[in-house]
Amino acid sequence: MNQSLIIGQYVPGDSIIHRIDPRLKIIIIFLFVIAVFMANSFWSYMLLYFFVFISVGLSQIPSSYILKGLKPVWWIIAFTFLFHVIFNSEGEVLFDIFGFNIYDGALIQGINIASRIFLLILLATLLTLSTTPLSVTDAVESLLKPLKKLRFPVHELALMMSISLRFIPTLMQEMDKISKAQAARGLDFTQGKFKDRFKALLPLLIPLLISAFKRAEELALAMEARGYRGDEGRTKFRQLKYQKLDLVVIIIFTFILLIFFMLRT
Amino acid sequence: MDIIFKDVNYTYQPNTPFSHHALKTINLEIQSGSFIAIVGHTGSGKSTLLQHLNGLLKPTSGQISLGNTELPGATSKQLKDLRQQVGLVFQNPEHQLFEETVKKDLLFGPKNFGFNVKDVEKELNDVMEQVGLDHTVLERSPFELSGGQMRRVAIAGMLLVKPQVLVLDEPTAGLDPSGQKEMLQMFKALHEMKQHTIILVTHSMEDALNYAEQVVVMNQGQIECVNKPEDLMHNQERLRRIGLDIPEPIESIRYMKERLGLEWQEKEYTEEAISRTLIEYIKAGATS
Repeated sequence: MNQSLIIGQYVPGDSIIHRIDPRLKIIIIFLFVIAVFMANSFWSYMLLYFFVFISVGLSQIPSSYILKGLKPVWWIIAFTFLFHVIFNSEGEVLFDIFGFNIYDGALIQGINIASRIFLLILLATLLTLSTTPLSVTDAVESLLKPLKKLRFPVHELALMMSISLRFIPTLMQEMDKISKAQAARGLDFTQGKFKDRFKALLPLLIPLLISAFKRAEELALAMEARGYRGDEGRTKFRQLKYQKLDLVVIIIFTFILLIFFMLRT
Repeated sequence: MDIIFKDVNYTYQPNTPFSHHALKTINLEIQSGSFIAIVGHTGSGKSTLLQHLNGLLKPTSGQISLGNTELPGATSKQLKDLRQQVGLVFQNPEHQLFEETVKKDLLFGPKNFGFNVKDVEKELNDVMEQVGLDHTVLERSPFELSGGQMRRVAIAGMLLVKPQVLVLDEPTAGLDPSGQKEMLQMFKALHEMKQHTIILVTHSMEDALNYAEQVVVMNQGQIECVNKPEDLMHNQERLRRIGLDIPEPIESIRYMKERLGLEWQEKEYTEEAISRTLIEYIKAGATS
């Protein structure tokens, strides 16, 4: 199993971040995304960093774990940074390495873009780490409710989302099991020519697809057997309700946004 | 091929909130040609232990020697040889079938290990007979078969690789009672005829009692005890404490001892032996 990828993996806990209403978390992230792209001064970036790090700290999830989980993302960040530094030619020449002129504008631009990606991904990761997939889909469904008037299938969309999220770990486990079973039969997909390696994927993918289809069918039958017939007249066991904590969070976040706009130049 | 575990520990996903210490200081010796049963609750570490036997998992600490191979530290060539020598059949092996025909699927393992396909094809019929399959299924798609037949195909596929050690994770789960018995008889025959080492993971204490020479009881990642099946009798309290069933024959012998004051003299703990003793008892009762 890929142990370094943690996006989508929920870490149980009872911190403040865990207890914030999932709808509020999604709204905050949405506003945060806008803010990240509007940041244009040193201090505005610092404020965003401050906000994200405080949130990570409050979540009580070990930061070493989060950073390790961002491993695949580091490459993207590093690549964007280098791309900017090498190919951008704004401002004055600072120094040159191997015939490349490095401009100070480019350096700043590179840091800015890398910071944006880093901040966005860190906060999004924090959302999935601190919120169960079920609450996320509940929140999405509740936030999209106004679209129902336009006959948009909100409930079905949310159901699809929660089913796919629910089955990611299951499929990963299944994949792990099948690849071990085939390895026991002498399959080796880490060595050989590209063509051979590609061919070696078939014994993994075919059983995986077959079991996924079987699972889908069983799930559909089980749902029907329990009387599922879509959204019509359906009530919820878990009601989302804003708490006092959410009010506090709203006030603090609004305050941070106000400071943010003052810090922009 | 002797298998020796020395202070083996294994942790899943170490240094994360999900880290799980699945094996704790395992010391175990399995001699070449023995028939071992591993029993224990779900989550007791049985499956993790199995996956160390052919190098799918490597110990977090400790040493395993499997014949000439040492884990950790084996080269990938050694690992491949190891996987040929130790045939591991997972639980529900029918999920691993993928070829268009049963025949192709059976040849998948031997091909991977570099066997001569023509030679293997000659053995197909024998192996099919051994696992109790009709040779007409060879040309059919594995997905048309029943669950029990698929299981047999998967096991036949492993037999064709000719392992010296056969490791089976719950091979009888989900089969009907006669199918279960047939399958276990088959492993016993393999063991007796070819001196294969058989390592059987099972939930059923009866199977462990009837077929194994040694029973390894696992509990919460540790080896609780290693017993000869007949010695399980003396460990009843221990078994009950960790939530395992007492094998039915042993339970009934205990009952006979307590209630009827019978002396147990048979060597085996089979249904036949119990009925023999009971018949003796009744006969004796009739004469006196």
